[in-house]
Formats: sequence, C-alpha cells, structure tokens
Amino acid sequence: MNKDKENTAVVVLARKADEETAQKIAAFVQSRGYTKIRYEIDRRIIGGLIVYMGDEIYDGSVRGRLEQIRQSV
Amino acid sequence: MEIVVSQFLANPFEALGLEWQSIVLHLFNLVVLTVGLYLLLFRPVKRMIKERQEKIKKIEKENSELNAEVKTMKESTEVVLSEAKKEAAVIHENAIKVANSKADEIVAEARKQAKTLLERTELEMEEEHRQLRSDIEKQISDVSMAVAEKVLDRNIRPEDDKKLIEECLERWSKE
Repeated sequence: MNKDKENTAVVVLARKADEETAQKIAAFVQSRGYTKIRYEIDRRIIGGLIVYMGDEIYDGSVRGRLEQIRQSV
Repeated sequence: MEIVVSQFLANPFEALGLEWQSIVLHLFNLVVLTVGLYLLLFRPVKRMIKERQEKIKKIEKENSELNAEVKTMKESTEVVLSEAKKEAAVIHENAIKVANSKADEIVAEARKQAKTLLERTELEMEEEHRQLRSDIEKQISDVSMAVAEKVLDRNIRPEDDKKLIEECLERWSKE
C-alpha cells in the first residue's frame, strides 16, 4: 500500500484532459519513475496543471503564475 | 592851721585820734585773715580749679583720641565697604555670566531635543507613508490579481488550456 502511494503521481487540472493530453502527462510521469496517476479537478487553478510526485511539485497552473507575479510585485 | 599841721607831722596817729597799737593789731589781723583766707579758701579753690582744668584737659585729650579712633574706624569701614561692593559687583557679574551660560545650555539642549523630535517624527511619517504605499500597492496588486483571475477564468478556452499543459510538460521534460 505504501509502495503504491509512493509510485502514484497526483495531477491537478482545471478541467478534464482529453486523450492526447492524458497520454503526454502519463509519458512525463513515467519518465520520472511513476507508474500510476491520480487525477484531481480543481477549477481554482484556472488553467494549466500541477503535478505532485513525492516531494517534488511541478506547478504549471495559471493561479501559480499569477501568484508569482503577485510575489514579484 | 599851722599848729594843726605841725602837730599832725609830729604825731600823726594822735592827731587822727588813732593808737599805733590798734593799727598794728589791725594789720596783724589783716595778715592773719589774709593768710587764713589764702590757706583755707584761696589755695583749695585754686587747687580745685587746677584739678578741674586738668580733668578737662584729660577729657579733651580722650575726646581727641576717640575722634581719631572713630575717624580711623570710619576710614577702614569705608575701605571694607568699598571692597565689599567691588566683590559684590564681581559676584553679580559672575552670577549673570553663569546664568547666561546656563540659559544658553538649556536653549541649545531644547533645540537639540526639538531637532531630534522633528527628525524622529519625520522618520515615523516616512515609515508610515512607506507602509501606506506598500499597503495600497498590495491592495492594488490583490485587486488586479483577482480581476485577472476572473477574466482568465471566464476567457480561457479548452484549447488554450491544452496548449498551456503541453508547454509545461515540454519545458519540464527538458529539465
């Protein structure tokens, strides 16, 4: 169970991805050594995606970028 | 008349009806009286007068000495008074100088404190101004972000979202 959780990447999207996009996401996650993906839909990120892989976080969401702009201002 | 004169010349006392013994006695009496008066009256009175004169002289001398002493004391008093006045003037002058100096110090200290207070107030105002500006900028930023979020949320199309995801994946893959 723990080993399962360790190999599962969590992907947060603003809307459901189509097949093509899902495949690209799967390819990226697998390249990082993760075999399973769990999708979560959160409208609050507005657009883009956030990928959680263990301790690593890849934030490509619109909200994340707006937050970066806010921090820089 | 010639007989009277010749009788007078021969015995003048008998001619005048006087006896020479009586005259001698009277003379003796006079002498005794004179001597007695001299010894009992004249000499004591004279002595008394002399003593009185000496006393008066002594008093005059003492008066004179006292006057001289008083004059000397008066002069020395005037000297002391004059010196005291000079000293008082010096003390007064020094006191004025000290007071002026103290007043200058107090004024300088007050100015320094006022300047410090002014600088501190200016700094505080500057800080407050800076804080206010920062708060306003933050509010503007927050409002702008909120507006941007609303606009993007409303206007972002699925194809834009897809493109955004693909760009991110491509970028991360290269890292």
